[in-house]
Amino acid sequence: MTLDVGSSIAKQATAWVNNYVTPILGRINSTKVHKLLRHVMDAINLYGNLINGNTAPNEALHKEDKPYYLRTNKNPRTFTEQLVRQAVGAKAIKNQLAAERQEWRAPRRRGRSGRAARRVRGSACAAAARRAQQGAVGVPAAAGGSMAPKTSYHLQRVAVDTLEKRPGLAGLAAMLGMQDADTIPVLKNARIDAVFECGTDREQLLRASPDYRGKPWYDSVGYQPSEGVAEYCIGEVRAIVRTADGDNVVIVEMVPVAGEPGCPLVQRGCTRLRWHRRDEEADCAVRVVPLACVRRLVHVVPDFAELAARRGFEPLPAALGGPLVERLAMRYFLNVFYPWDA
Amino acid sequence: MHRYIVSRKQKQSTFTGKQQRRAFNALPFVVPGLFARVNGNPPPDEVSPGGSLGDLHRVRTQNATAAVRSTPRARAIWPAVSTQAQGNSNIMGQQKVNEDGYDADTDEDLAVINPGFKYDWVAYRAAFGDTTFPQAVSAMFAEYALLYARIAGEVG
Repeated sequence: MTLDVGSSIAKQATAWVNNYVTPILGRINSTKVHKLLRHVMDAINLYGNLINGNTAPNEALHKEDKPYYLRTNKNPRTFTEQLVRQAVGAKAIKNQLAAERQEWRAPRRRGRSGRAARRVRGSACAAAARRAQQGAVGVPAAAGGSMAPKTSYHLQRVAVDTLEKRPGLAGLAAMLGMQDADTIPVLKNARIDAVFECGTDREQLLRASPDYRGKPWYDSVGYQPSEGVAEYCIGEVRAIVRTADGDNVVIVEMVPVAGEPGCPLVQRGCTRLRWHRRDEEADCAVRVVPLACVRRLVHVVPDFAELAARRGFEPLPAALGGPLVERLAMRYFLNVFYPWDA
Repeated sequence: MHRYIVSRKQKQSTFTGKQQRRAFNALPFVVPGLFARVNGNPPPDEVSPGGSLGDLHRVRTQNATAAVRSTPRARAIWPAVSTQAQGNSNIMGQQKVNEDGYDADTDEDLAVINPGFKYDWVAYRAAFGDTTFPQAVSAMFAEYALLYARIAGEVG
């Protein structure tokens, strides 16, 4: 974090206290509010970035020094010096050995792209890795596509009519061009190389399972409706299936809807959403897209204000398999505040 | 909230550090739902900015009265150890009334204080104009989430 960024954050903290907290809650004489008002820059100067407000990484460093306590003579006056001397010396030797090992391994390493390309043909990470590999060694793109499809011996094959029992997937057989009695390999989760708006990429675990520790777990994702389309859509993944073309995700679609006038969440980039239903269909719209088209996981939250205004405070949001009218009446928000590195 | 942040069995007044990290992004979405309860669930198109401010003050008093009426039921679900702690706080409250300006240790005290409570609507209107109170509070939590994300250096 640069000093300019730190100064900007300090100004934002001061503005938050002056423009929001004090007019709404009145003047608050507490150390916590005072720190936000006046001492954020001091804290950044002293400690740098707060690393998600989490002290665990620093605290974990104590574990590295603890074993060396056994090598001291336990004298309360001198054991700290002995412990530090032992720990620092041992760490220096370990670092030297690690550097030598790294140097030895470097020419033999295939790299992350090499490993990822062999994971799952057609998966997002494999495609990205293959592109990187091809770009590095000059292999034409068509070479990757001519590989023989990987046979999935380890995956559970599920009958399509069983898969259709998942919420919203009633017409899946027709979408996949299969019969009800046909079976298809189904994944409970898949790893993707997520790409964030800021350009950061990291691996994420995409999960779509009707029974994860006793409860269903279907992740929401941002995805390209088809390859080459720049716009991204939001939807909930209800199944991950493997076909001859590679891994595909079955997504129940969501579409943006206008927010309430003056809604502070919409003003800050939280897109308001609802389930999408096409005119000729009896249920919410479903789409099958390649796993490579999934950009990243997103966090979607029910619009509790709308729910409470419509049904009162106690009712829960509409269940996945609930009545269609209730599901279509529900509104959701895209949570842009969600910390994906926590 | 119960599923992601605090389990139903936990009885605590503040978040731990981990809960704070997990909850800050969800609070802006929870607050509008809570205000829907305070406002008596009016349809969104019937909430006028001026009216909602006046209504909120009235509803606040009503809620204080309702809290007193619901006290026995609320106390019944608390374990014995909590009742003991509340009894001690009553004694302390009698001994040190108004020492720090806070003497509402029980629901009855809360009901007595709330009707006389004067909210500074002038400062509120100066800052937010005709913005409804729920929207202003939601905006406060949303801004906090953005600020916290920047302070902690997070992605997304």
